[in-house]
Amino acid sequence: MTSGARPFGEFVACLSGPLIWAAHFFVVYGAESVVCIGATSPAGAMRLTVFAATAIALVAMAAPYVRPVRGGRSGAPEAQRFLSSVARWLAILSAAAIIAVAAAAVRLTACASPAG
Amino acid sequence: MTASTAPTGLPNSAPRPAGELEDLKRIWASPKGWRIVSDVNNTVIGGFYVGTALLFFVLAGILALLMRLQLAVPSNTFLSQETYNQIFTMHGTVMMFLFAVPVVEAMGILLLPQMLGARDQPFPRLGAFAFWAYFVGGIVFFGTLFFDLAPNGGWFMYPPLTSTQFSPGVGADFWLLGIGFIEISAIAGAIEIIVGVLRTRAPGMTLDKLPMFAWTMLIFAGMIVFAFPAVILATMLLELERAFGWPFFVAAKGGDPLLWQHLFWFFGHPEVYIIFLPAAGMVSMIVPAMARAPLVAYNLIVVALIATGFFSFGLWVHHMFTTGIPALSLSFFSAASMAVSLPSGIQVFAWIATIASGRMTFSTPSLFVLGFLFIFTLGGLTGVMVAMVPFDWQAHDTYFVVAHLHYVLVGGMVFPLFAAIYYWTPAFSRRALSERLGRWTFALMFIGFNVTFFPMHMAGLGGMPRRVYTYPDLPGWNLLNLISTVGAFMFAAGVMVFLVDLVRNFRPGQSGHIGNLWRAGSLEWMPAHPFGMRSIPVVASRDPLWDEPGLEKAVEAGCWYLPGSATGRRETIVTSPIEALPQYVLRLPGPGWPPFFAAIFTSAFFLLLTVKAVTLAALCGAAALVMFVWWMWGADPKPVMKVDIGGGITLPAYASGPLSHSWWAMVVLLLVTGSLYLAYVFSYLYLWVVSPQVWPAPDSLPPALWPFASALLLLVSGGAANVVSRKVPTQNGSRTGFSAAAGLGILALLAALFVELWGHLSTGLDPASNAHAAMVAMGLFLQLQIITPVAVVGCFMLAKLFTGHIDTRRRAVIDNLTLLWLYAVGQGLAGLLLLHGFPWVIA
Repeated sequence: MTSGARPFGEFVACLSGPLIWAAHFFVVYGAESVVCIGATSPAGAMRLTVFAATAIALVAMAAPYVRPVRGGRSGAPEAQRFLSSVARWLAILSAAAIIAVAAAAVRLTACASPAG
Repeated sequence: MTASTAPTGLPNSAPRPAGELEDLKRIWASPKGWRIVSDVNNTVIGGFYVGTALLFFVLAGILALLMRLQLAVPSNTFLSQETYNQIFTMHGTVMMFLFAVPVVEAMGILLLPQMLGARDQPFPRLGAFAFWAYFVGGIVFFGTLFFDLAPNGGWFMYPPLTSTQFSPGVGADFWLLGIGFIEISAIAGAIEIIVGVLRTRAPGMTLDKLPMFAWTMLIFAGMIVFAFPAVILATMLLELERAFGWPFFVAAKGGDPLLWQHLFWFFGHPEVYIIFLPAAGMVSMIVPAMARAPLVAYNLIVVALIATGFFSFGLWVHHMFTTGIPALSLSFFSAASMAVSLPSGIQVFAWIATIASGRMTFSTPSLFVLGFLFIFTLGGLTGVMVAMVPFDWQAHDTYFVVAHLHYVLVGGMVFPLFAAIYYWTPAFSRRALSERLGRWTFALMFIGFNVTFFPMHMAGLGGMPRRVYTYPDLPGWNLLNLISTVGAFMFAAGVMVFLVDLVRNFRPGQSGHIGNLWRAGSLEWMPAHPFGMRSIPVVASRDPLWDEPGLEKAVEAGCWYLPGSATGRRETIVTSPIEALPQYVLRLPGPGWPPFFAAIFTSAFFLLLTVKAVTLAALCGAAALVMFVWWMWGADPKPVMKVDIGGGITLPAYASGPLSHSWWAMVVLLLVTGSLYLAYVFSYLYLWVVSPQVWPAPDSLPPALWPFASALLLLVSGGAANVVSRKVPTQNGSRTGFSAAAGLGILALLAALFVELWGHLSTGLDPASNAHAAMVAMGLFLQLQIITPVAVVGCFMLAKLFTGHIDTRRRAVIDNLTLLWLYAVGQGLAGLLLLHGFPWVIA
């Protein structure tokens, strides 16, 4: 009665939404630190970075819809449905959080002081 | 003698053979009298843990009352400025580090095994070590108040206020070393909880049937793994700066005090959710029992918990909105701060829907849950307010923030905890707590809390700054502060009534508990023994006691799995992490002294270092090491390959590699060390962004020969680790090649560090000269920190090999060591790339 499931891979697949959110967040936050030091046109570079990172992240969010999380090989359909459902809802919430973060870059200019 | 028959569908017959239950009781018996401190069973350690955490809650609460007395009237002289600063620092520190996190871990250790259908935690001695380390470290830390040695820089310990220039005494060192050590204890508890939840569930308890409290504890522990290393690194950096002058936070030498704030709040903001999520888990257990209805939207609550856990790591800069960070970056954190309110809202609506779908019983736990919903929701609303940058600029460092954080923390954690104590007491006590006194407790605490903290919103909006020991006589502030002081004493009166209730009614013991007073549906309400349930059932639903009426009787009659001791020792069933299929029988250790003394000596090591008693500290460190070796020597018992657990199922009583629970613990430990190293990489890059002028040109770096030689040695060491993993000698085989590979491989690891150090010294590295040099030295220090355990465990492995305790089957030590070893190789290579490659890239 042992399991043949590869649990780490399944856990990572289930958490793909928030993991992508985390990657996107650190890329856009880190990018502002870098472009403010070196870019000749920081505002344009920042907008481009945020746009590209957001587009890639939102496309990647489709992962749990394209390949459902398996949740093991024992044929426990409820567990499988549960993990797939969790992965998909997490992707939706994470996509909303990514859009909220990226929306800031539409209105605000990079490297500007908060005091205006 | 009655003929025994197996009831339909159950694996074991009843009645059980004579003596089986008595054997179980004998094997799981706790030591008597003062020897109880050597016990490791989760019911005993969990009880100690909860009791100690409540003691710290009361002590920190008394400090709060002293502060409120001082602030009751303007220009008061009840406390001096210095005493007030010590008390306010200790109040925050004790509440956060010695009460909030430990009490949640304590509840996990106490409740989880029974809730999951396990006999104990997977590492009972680690749990005992974590508790005693916390107990000794916490008591000594609190004791510094009585010797005028307590820290006074606030619980957040911002440099430069806490640098040697402005805090020259040992108070800050007590904070840095003491709290750093207690955080290690918290991480030990987190490892225990993660492995326990993932690997010791009852058969059939797939993740969709996991009790919600277990889900929250799993996420809580996962968050500790990623959040605590940041503050551990911060405490190491500040202590090194204070002790040796390495200028991580000194702006004149390329450091930056804001680095501390980044690292501290990367821990500090998730900490809020680390505290809140388990409390939410308690509420999710209590609400269905009180409403007599299954939890609504189970799947969505799990989604909300996971999302909250992740999003909470994107909020840390909202504590730093006024530090001059660019507006766009502030907006990223502001957006994340608002995004986290979505999953929090999902949980609140799910609880309200559950209450609406059933018929709520208004007992004391229900009242505390309703109080939690009211207070926490208000705290959440003001949280959304301070997440707005413009509003935060107005409210920052005012009493508005004090009000907000107490609404979130007390509402989100203390009220659910009191609900939990009233709710679960019947599972551990021969008498339930009093409903009458419980209602008084709730009323006094609820009214007292709001009377204390609601006026602080107005005081803050009126401009009253926080973190001040007194204030001028201003008409807008005086009355509000007096009202807050009256409310604080009302809240304290509620806690006092609770303590009276505990003394009068709480009667813990190993039998005769009240039991399932609330007619709840989860497994912890089965008849409890020191060994958990009599037999371990297959779990087929989320609320097994509601859905399977005969379950309790069959379990208690021993008709399910493992009704006795199959190996003559304490044991539990290890199952697969997702599907909960039985994999092996884990033999558990019984009472013993090594965890207790290891904790005492480790605490002494850190505390003696604080007061610069280096020789004595070294002796205690050596004694702790001896205790660890004694502890670990018996941790890998001889394999038993077939054990009957009932119903014709036989399992091995040994596992190594990815199947083993210890391998999983090592993976979690590596996530901790990896997080620590990532926090270091962040710090290195951050200081470069702030002070690129102190970063050297490529021609000032050590010649390329040195890092290449170091990398080569690391690769050789990695190859040796691979050989050690693959060429384990048989019982009678030659050990020479294996031992040579292990010895030379570990020497190569040490040599790689030595070569790297030599290369930097050849360029005249002086860690006190500037932030870059300090960061280089820190990188080498972190590498030494990971190599040392590899070397110690390597020697331990060879000792076990030559005493015949290791062979091709009995190899858990080897598998765990090689994981750690390969990680050390990887970290070493990453360090070379960072310290030598990055300066080339920026050039």
